[in-house]
Amino acid sequence: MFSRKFFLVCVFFILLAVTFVSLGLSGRHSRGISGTGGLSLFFVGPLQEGATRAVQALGSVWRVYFDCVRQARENVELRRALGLAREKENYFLELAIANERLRTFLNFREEEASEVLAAEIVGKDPSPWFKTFIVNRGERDGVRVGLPVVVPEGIVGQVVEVTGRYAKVLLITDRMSGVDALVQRTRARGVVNGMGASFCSFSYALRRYDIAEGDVVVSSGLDRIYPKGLRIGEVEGVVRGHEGIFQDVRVRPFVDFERIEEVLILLSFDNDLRDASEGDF
Amino acid sequence: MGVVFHGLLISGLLLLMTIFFAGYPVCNPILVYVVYLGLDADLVPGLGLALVAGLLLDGLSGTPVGVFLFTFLWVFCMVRWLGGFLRTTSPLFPLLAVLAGLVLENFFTFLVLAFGSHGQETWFMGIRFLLSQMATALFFCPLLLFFFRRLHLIFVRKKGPGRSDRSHFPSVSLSVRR
Repeated sequence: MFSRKFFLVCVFFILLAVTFVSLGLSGRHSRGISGTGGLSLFFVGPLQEGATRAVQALGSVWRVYFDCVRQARENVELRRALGLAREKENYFLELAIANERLRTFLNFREEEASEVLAAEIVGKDPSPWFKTFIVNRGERDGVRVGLPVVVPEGIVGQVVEVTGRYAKVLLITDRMSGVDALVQRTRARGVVNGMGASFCSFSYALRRYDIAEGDVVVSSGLDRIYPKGLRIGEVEGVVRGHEGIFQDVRVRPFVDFERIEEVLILLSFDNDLRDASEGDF
Repeated sequence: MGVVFHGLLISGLLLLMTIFFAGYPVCNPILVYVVYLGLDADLVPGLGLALVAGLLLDGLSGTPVGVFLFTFLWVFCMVRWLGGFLRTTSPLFPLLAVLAGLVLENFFTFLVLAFGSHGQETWFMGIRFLLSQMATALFFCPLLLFFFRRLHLIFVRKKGPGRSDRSHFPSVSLSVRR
């Protein structure tokens, strides 16, 4: 009834339509309809973990061997420094005891430390366009979508997909990432958007705000994802054009995403927020 | 044996991309693998493997689902279709197919970012990625194709008792399809 050519042309156009509609929907609802991520993490995650451990083991053998000589020299210096540090420790211990006594006296409430979970990075994004990590903690460890991920230097990103033992973390440098933030010095508010590169942009900062190179940018806590006051990065450049109401600010993150191997997932933070948001209503 | 071989190959390539060359704008080795499937595999198992590879890569990447899946699907179909009337034994054919695949992959990524309003100032980055990927493809594509074909000869054809040359994955020297 239909020729082979007609059939092929039909298949071509149907495939073309399916491609564009699917990509369009994926682009608009990037995290909503992706169900295959969990499957990939489930199958490839253990392999990635094994390979990462093997690479680390090889690297550590290399490091241990070649660091021995350097460490022997450092050891002498560190022993000397340790003696000084012990003296200082005693001094600070006295100060801490005095501080605690005075706090109790003034009826201050100590902030409860957030519950954190250490995780190891076992895989990175295969595409140069996107910035994600895969970590070896999942639902079994209490990880959920939306939890903030940090290191001592600052914010790393947030969890976007979770399986039983693995989770995918969207970095703050990814184009689809945004963090509500403040300039620490002037309290100028904006959103730190990823640029798909090693730096971010501080968007929606009004021109009248005083922002200068070297200013530290911290999270504002208003996005209800990241706790307030976490360090994000340092202002690297500011351009105030003649038009528009915003200024272009470039932020260099404190975290070196190429070098980190472990991260901390803040587990208790979203419970606190939920409690707070429920309390608001 | 064939399924195990291809499963291991896809896993190895995924590890290569997510651990050793993660995030670098180099030629996607799985794209070369899909071209190899298009050239040497039968339609149904080849298409199935290409789709599985696309799905896994989409899942491991921060891309919204579909970028790698549709890239591999189109590249596989393109190679099969063009293989009907072009000389597939020419070393230029797989190289051009991989280059076309790289263009398609970056175009789809750009499209997804543009649909999601994240596509600002991506042209420069896209061109830089594409040029870098194409440059590395000139070196990696023939090397990987040779590697895949050698592995296939070693692990599948020699150890698969009773398999003919036209079975599961036909011989390497498959020439013009009519």
